[in-house]
Amino acid sequence: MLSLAGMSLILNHGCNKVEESQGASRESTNILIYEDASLKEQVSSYFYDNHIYRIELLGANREREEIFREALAEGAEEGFLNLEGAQKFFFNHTDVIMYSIPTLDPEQTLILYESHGLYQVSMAHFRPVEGGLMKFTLKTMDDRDYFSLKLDEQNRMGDLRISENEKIKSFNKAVNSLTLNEESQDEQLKGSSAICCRKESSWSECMECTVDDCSGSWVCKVVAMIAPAELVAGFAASCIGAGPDARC
Amino acid sequence: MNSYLKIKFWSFLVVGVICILIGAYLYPFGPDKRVWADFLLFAGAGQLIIFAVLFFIRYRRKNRETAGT
Repeated sequence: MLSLAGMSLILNHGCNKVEESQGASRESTNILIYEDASLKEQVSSYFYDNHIYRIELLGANREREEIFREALAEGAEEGFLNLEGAQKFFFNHTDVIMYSIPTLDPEQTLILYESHGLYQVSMAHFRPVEGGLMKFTLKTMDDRDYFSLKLDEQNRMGDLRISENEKIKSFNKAVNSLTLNEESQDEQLKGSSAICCRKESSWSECMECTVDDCSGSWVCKVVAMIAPAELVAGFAASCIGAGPDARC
Repeated sequence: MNSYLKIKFWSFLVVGVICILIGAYLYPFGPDKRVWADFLLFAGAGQLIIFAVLFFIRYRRKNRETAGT
Protein backbone atom coordinates (compact mmCIF):
# COMPACT_ATOMS: atom_id res chain seq x y z
CA MET A 1 0.00 0.00 0.00
CA LEU A 2 2.70 2.39 1.05
CA SER A 3 4.82 1.57 -1.97
CA LEU A 4 1.82 2.20 -4.27
CA ALA A 5 1.21 5.56 -2.65
CA GLY A 6 4.89 6.39 -3.03
CA MET A 7 4.84 5.47 -6.70
CA SER A 8 1.73 7.52 -7.40
CA LEU A 9 3.35 10.47 -5.63
CA ILE A 10 6.50 10.14 -7.74
CA LEU A 11 4.45 9.79 -10.95
CA ASN A 12 2.28 12.75 -10.06
CA HIS A 13 5.33 14.87 -9.28
CA GLY A 14 6.93 13.80 -12.57
CA CYS A 15 3.78 14.71 -14.56
CA ASN A 16 3.63 18.12 -12.91
CA LYS A 17 7.25 18.70 -13.86
CA VAL A 18 6.56 17.82 -17.52
CA GLU A 19 3.53 20.14 -17.57
CA GLU A 20 5.58 22.89 -15.98
CA SER A 21 8.38 22.54 -18.48
CA GLN A 22 5.87 22.43 -21.37
CA GLY A 23 4.21 25.54 -20.02
CA ALA A 24 7.58 27.24 -19.67
CA SER A 25 8.59 26.39 -23.23
CA ARG A 26 5.18 27.63 -24.47
CA GLU A 27 5.81 30.88 -22.62
CA SER A 28 9.31 31.24 -23.96
CA THR A 29 8.43 30.86 -27.65
CA ASN A 30 7.05 33.74 -29.69
CA ILE A 31 3.36 33.49 -30.55
CA LEU A 32 2.28 34.22 -34.09
CA ILE A 33 -0.38 36.92 -34.13
CA TYR A 34 -0.63 37.74 -37.81
CA GLU A 35 0.91 36.47 -41.00
CA ASP A 36 0.16 37.05 -44.66
CA ALA A 37 2.67 34.99 -46.63
CA SER A 38 1.53 36.49 -49.94
CA LEU A 39 2.80 39.90 -48.79
CA LYS A 40 6.29 38.44 -48.44
CA GLU A 41 6.47 37.88 -52.19
CA GLN A 42 4.44 40.86 -53.41
CA VAL A 43 6.13 44.04 -52.31
CA SER A 44 4.17 47.15 -53.15
CA SER A 45 6.25 50.08 -54.35
CA TYR A 46 3.89 52.46 -52.54
CA PHE A 47 5.25 53.26 -49.14
CA TYR A 48 1.83 53.70 -47.59
CA ASP A 49 0.74 50.17 -48.51
CA ASN A 50 0.85 47.41 -45.93
CA HIS A 51 4.41 46.14 -45.68
CA ILE A 52 4.00 44.18 -42.46
CA TYR A 53 3.70 40.53 -43.31
CA ARG A 54 4.18 38.99 -39.86
CA ILE A 55 3.59 39.98 -36.25
CA GLU A 56 4.70 37.93 -33.26
CA LEU A 57 4.02 38.33 -29.57
CA LEU A 58 7.35 37.89 -27.82
CA GLY A 59 7.68 35.05 -25.33
CA ALA A 60 9.79 35.20 -22.20
CA ASN A 61 13.01 34.45 -24.02
CA ARG A 62 16.48 35.85 -24.74
CA GLU A 63 15.19 38.04 -27.55
CA ARG A 64 12.78 39.80 -25.21
CA GLU A 65 15.49 40.15 -22.58
CA GLU A 66 17.80 41.70 -25.13
CA ILE A 67 15.36 44.32 -26.35
CA PHE A 68 14.47 45.07 -22.74
CA ARG A 69 18.14 45.57 -21.95
CA GLU A 70 18.52 47.88 -24.95
CA ALA A 71 15.47 49.88 -23.89
CA LEU A 72 16.82 50.27 -20.35
CA ALA A 73 20.24 51.24 -21.65
CA GLU A 74 18.61 54.05 -23.63
CA GLY A 75 16.90 55.39 -20.54
CA ALA A 76 13.50 53.68 -20.53
CA GLU A 77 12.06 53.10 -17.04
CA GLU A 78 11.76 49.46 -16.05
CA GLY A 79 8.39 49.77 -14.29
CA PHE A 80 6.91 51.84 -17.10
CA LEU A 81 7.15 49.04 -19.69
CA ASN A 82 4.63 46.24 -20.14
CA LEU A 83 7.05 43.63 -21.41
CA GLU A 84 4.40 40.89 -21.71
CA GLY A 85 2.80 42.83 -24.56
CA ALA A 86 6.02 43.22 -26.60
CA GLN A 87 5.48 42.51 -30.29
CA LYS A 88 7.81 41.91 -33.19
CA PHE A 89 7.02 43.20 -36.70
CA PHE A 90 8.50 41.89 -39.95
CA PHE A 91 8.47 44.04 -43.10
CA ASN A 92 8.65 42.84 -46.67
CA HIS A 93 10.54 45.85 -48.04
CA THR A 94 13.34 46.09 -45.50
CA ASP A 95 15.42 43.82 -43.27
CA VAL A 96 14.80 46.13 -40.33
CA ILE A 97 12.80 44.47 -37.54
CA MET A 98 10.53 46.58 -35.40
CA TYR A 99 9.62 45.80 -31.79
CA SER A 100 6.88 47.58 -29.90
CA ILE A 101 6.53 47.54 -26.12
CA PRO A 102 3.36 48.98 -24.60
CA THR A 103 3.77 51.26 -21.60
CA LEU A 104 1.67 52.14 -18.58
CA ASP A 105 0.60 55.26 -20.46
CA PRO A 106 -1.82 54.12 -23.20
CA GLU A 107 -0.73 57.09 -25.33
CA GLN A 108 2.88 55.97 -25.41
CA THR A 109 4.54 52.91 -26.94
CA LEU A 110 8.23 52.14 -26.94
CA ILE A 111 9.51 51.35 -30.42
CA LEU A 112 12.80 49.60 -31.14
CA TYR A 113 14.23 49.22 -34.60
CA GLU A 114 16.78 46.48 -35.06
CA SER A 115 19.07 46.01 -38.01
CA HIS A 116 22.31 44.05 -38.17
CA GLY A 117 22.48 43.89 -34.38
CA LEU A 118 22.09 47.66 -34.02
CA TYR A 119 19.14 49.10 -32.12
CA GLN A 120 17.38 52.41 -32.25
CA VAL A 121 15.05 53.08 -29.34
CA SER A 122 12.22 55.56 -29.80
CA MET A 123 9.01 56.50 -28.04
CA ALA A 124 5.80 56.77 -30.04
CA HIS A 125 3.20 59.20 -28.74
CA PHE A 126 -0.36 58.97 -29.96
CA ARG A 127 -2.78 61.51 -28.57
CA PRO A 128 -5.91 63.38 -29.61
CA VAL A 129 -5.48 66.98 -30.74
CA GLU A 130 -7.88 69.75 -31.74
CA GLY A 131 -10.41 69.16 -34.51
CA GLY A 132 -10.96 65.49 -33.71
CA LEU A 133 -7.55 64.60 -35.09
CA MET A 134 -5.01 62.21 -33.63
CA LYS A 135 -1.35 63.18 -33.53
CA PHE A 136 1.33 60.56 -33.86
CA THR A 137 4.84 61.59 -32.84
CA LEU A 138 7.97 59.51 -32.80
CA LYS A 139 10.69 60.78 -30.50
CA THR A 140 14.12 59.49 -29.60
CA MET A 141 14.74 58.80 -25.94
CA ASP A 142 16.32 62.24 -25.44
CA ASP A 143 12.77 63.57 -26.08
CA ARG A 144 13.62 65.04 -29.48
CA ASP A 145 11.15 64.67 -32.33
CA TYR A 146 11.96 62.40 -35.21
CA PHE A 147 8.74 62.76 -37.11
CA SER A 148 5.11 63.54 -36.52
CA LEU A 149 1.90 63.32 -38.47
CA LYS A 150 -1.81 63.77 -37.92
CA LEU A 151 -4.58 61.28 -38.65
CA ASP A 152 -8.20 62.19 -39.23
CA GLU A 153 -11.25 60.04 -38.42
CA GLN A 154 -10.79 58.11 -41.65
CA ASN A 155 -7.11 57.47 -40.84
CA ARG A 156 -5.93 59.79 -43.60
CA MET A 157 -2.46 61.12 -42.95
CA GLY A 158 -1.48 64.74 -43.10
CA ASP A 159 0.78 67.43 -41.66
CA LEU A 160 3.83 65.21 -41.85
CA ARG A 161 6.81 66.85 -40.19
CA ILE A 162 10.27 65.34 -40.23
CA SER A 163 12.73 66.85 -37.79
CA GLU A 164 16.50 66.93 -37.78
CA ASN A 165 17.56 64.30 -35.31
CA GLU A 166 21.21 63.39 -34.91
CA LYS A 167 20.53 60.02 -33.26
CA ILE A 168 18.32 58.87 -36.11
CA LYS A 169 20.80 60.22 -38.64
CA SER A 170 23.71 58.28 -37.14
CA PHE A 171 21.59 55.09 -36.86
CA ASN A 172 20.61 55.44 -40.51
CA LYS A 173 24.23 55.96 -41.49
CA ALA A 174 25.40 52.92 -39.52
CA VAL A 175 22.70 50.66 -41.00
CA ASN A 176 23.27 52.08 -44.46
CA SER A 177 27.02 51.46 -44.35
CA LEU A 178 26.47 47.90 -43.08
CA THR A 179 23.95 47.22 -45.85
CA LEU A 180 26.25 48.76 -48.46
CA ASN A 181 29.17 46.64 -47.28
CA GLU A 182 27.05 43.52 -47.58
CA GLU A 183 25.84 44.51 -51.03
CA SER A 184 29.34 45.30 -52.28
CA GLN A 185 30.53 41.94 -50.96
CA ASP A 186 27.68 40.34 -52.88
CA GLU A 187 28.67 42.31 -55.96
CA GLN A 188 32.25 41.14 -55.62
CA LEU A 189 31.10 37.56 -55.26
CA LYS A 190 28.83 37.93 -58.28
CA GLY A 191 31.68 39.58 -60.18
CA SER A 192 34.21 36.91 -59.34
CA SER A 193 31.81 34.12 -60.21
CA ALA A 194 30.38 35.89 -63.26
CA ILE A 195 30.74 33.85 -66.39
CA CYS A 196 32.66 35.35 -69.25
CA CYS A 197 30.06 35.37 -72.03
CA ARG A 198 32.66 34.52 -74.66
CA LYS A 199 32.92 31.07 -73.04
CA GLU A 200 29.37 30.27 -74.17
CA SER A 201 29.10 27.55 -76.78
CA SER A 202 27.95 29.73 -79.68
CA TRP A 203 27.75 33.31 -80.95
CA SER A 204 24.01 33.51 -80.28
CA GLU A 205 24.42 32.17 -76.74
CA CYS A 206 27.22 34.66 -76.11
CA MET A 207 24.89 37.44 -77.30
CA GLU A 208 22.08 36.22 -75.07
CA CYS A 209 24.44 36.01 -72.09
CA THR A 210 25.80 39.51 -72.77
CA VAL A 211 22.39 41.14 -73.19
CA ASP A 212 21.22 39.40 -70.03
CA ASP A 213 24.31 40.66 -68.19
CA CYS A 214 23.78 44.15 -69.60
CA SER A 215 20.29 44.34 -68.14
CA GLY A 216 21.86 43.94 -64.69
CA SER A 217 24.13 46.97 -65.13
CA TRP A 218 22.64 50.47 -64.94
CA VAL A 219 25.51 51.92 -67.01
CA CYS A 220 24.77 49.43 -69.75
CA LYS A 221 21.04 50.20 -69.54
CA VAL A 222 21.70 53.93 -69.90
CA VAL A 223 23.95 53.35 -72.91
CA ALA A 224 21.35 51.04 -74.43
CA MET A 225 18.88 53.93 -74.27
CA ILE A 226 21.27 56.43 -75.86
CA ALA A 227 23.06 54.33 -78.45
CA PRO A 228 21.42 50.90 -78.75
CA ALA A 229 22.73 50.16 -82.24
CA GLU A 230 26.36 50.89 -81.31
CA LEU A 231 26.06 48.85 -78.13
CA VAL A 232 24.66 45.79 -79.84
CA ALA A 233 27.19 46.19 -82.65
CA GLY A 234 29.96 46.09 -80.04
CA PHE A 235 28.45 43.02 -78.38
CA ALA A 236 28.09 41.29 -81.73
CA ALA A 237 31.73 42.01 -82.59
CA SER A 238 33.04 40.68 -79.27
CA CYS A 239 30.95 37.51 -79.50
CA ILE A 240 32.59 36.58 -82.78
CA GLY A 241 34.82 33.65 -81.92
CA ALA A 242 32.86 32.74 -78.79
CA GLY A 243 33.17 29.13 -77.66
CA PRO A 244 34.20 26.99 -74.68
CA ASP A 245 37.90 27.54 -75.42
CA ALA A 246 37.61 31.22 -76.29
CA ARG A 247 39.96 33.78 -74.73
CA CYS A 248 38.51 35.84 -71.94
CA MET B 1 31.01 78.05 -87.09
CA ASN B 2 34.80 77.99 -87.61
CA SER B 3 36.60 74.80 -88.47
CA TYR B 4 37.94 74.26 -84.92
CA LEU B 5 34.45 74.36 -83.45
CA LYS B 6 33.18 72.09 -86.21
CA ILE B 7 35.85 69.51 -85.39
CA LYS B 8 35.06 69.81 -81.67
CA PHE B 9 31.33 69.47 -82.36
CA TRP B 10 31.59 66.33 -84.52
CA SER B 11 34.28 64.84 -82.27
CA PHE B 12 31.66 64.41 -79.53
CA LEU B 13 29.76 62.09 -81.85
CA VAL B 14 32.82 60.25 -83.17
CA VAL B 15 34.54 59.81 -79.79
CA GLY B 16 31.21 58.85 -78.16
CA VAL B 17 30.52 56.15 -80.74
CA ILE B 18 34.11 54.84 -80.55
CA CYS B 19 34.00 54.69 -76.73
CA ILE B 20 30.69 52.82 -76.81
CA LEU B 21 31.89 50.39 -79.46
CA ILE B 22 35.08 49.58 -77.54
CA GLY B 23 33.18 49.40 -74.22
CA ALA B 24 30.53 47.10 -75.69
CA TYR B 25 33.27 45.03 -77.31
CA LEU B 26 34.97 44.53 -73.95
CA TYR B 27 31.72 43.83 -72.10
CA PRO B 28 31.41 40.07 -72.75
CA PHE B 29 35.07 39.44 -71.83
CA GLY B 30 34.31 38.77 -68.18
CA PRO B 31 34.62 40.59 -64.86
CA ASP B 32 38.28 41.61 -65.32
CA LYS B 33 37.42 43.84 -68.27
CA ARG B 34 34.10 44.98 -66.84
CA VAL B 35 35.54 48.03 -65.07
CA TRP B 36 37.01 49.36 -68.32
CA ALA B 37 33.91 48.42 -70.27
CA ASP B 38 31.70 50.32 -67.81
CA PHE B 39 34.03 53.32 -67.89
CA LEU B 40 34.08 53.47 -71.69
CA LEU B 41 30.31 53.00 -71.96
CA PHE B 42 29.78 55.75 -69.43
CA ALA B 43 32.23 58.11 -71.16
CA GLY B 44 30.71 57.34 -74.57
CA ALA B 45 27.18 57.92 -73.34
CA GLY B 46 28.29 61.23 -71.81
CA GLN B 47 29.88 62.37 -75.07
CA LEU B 48 26.74 61.47 -77.01
CA ILE B 49 24.53 63.37 -74.58
CA ILE B 50 26.75 66.47 -74.98
CA PHE B 51 26.61 66.03 -78.77
CA ALA B 52 22.81 65.70 -78.71
CA VAL B 53 22.43 68.90 -76.65
CA LEU B 54 24.83 70.87 -78.90
CA PHE B 55 23.14 69.46 -82.00
CA PHE B 56 19.76 70.59 -80.74
CA ILE B 57 21.04 74.10 -79.94
CA ARG B 58 22.84 74.44 -83.28
CA TYR B 59 19.92 73.41 -85.44
CA ARG B 60 17.42 75.43 -83.48
CA ARG B 61 19.59 78.49 -84.16
CA LYS B 62 19.89 77.54 -87.83
CA ASN B 63 16.13 77.16 -88.11
CA ARG B 64 15.62 80.57 -86.58
CA GLU B 65 18.13 82.11 -89.01
CA THR B 66 16.38 80.58 -92.05
CA ALA B 67 13.01 81.64 -90.72
CA GLY B 68 14.34 85.21 -90.27
CA THR B 69 15.61 85.55 -93.88
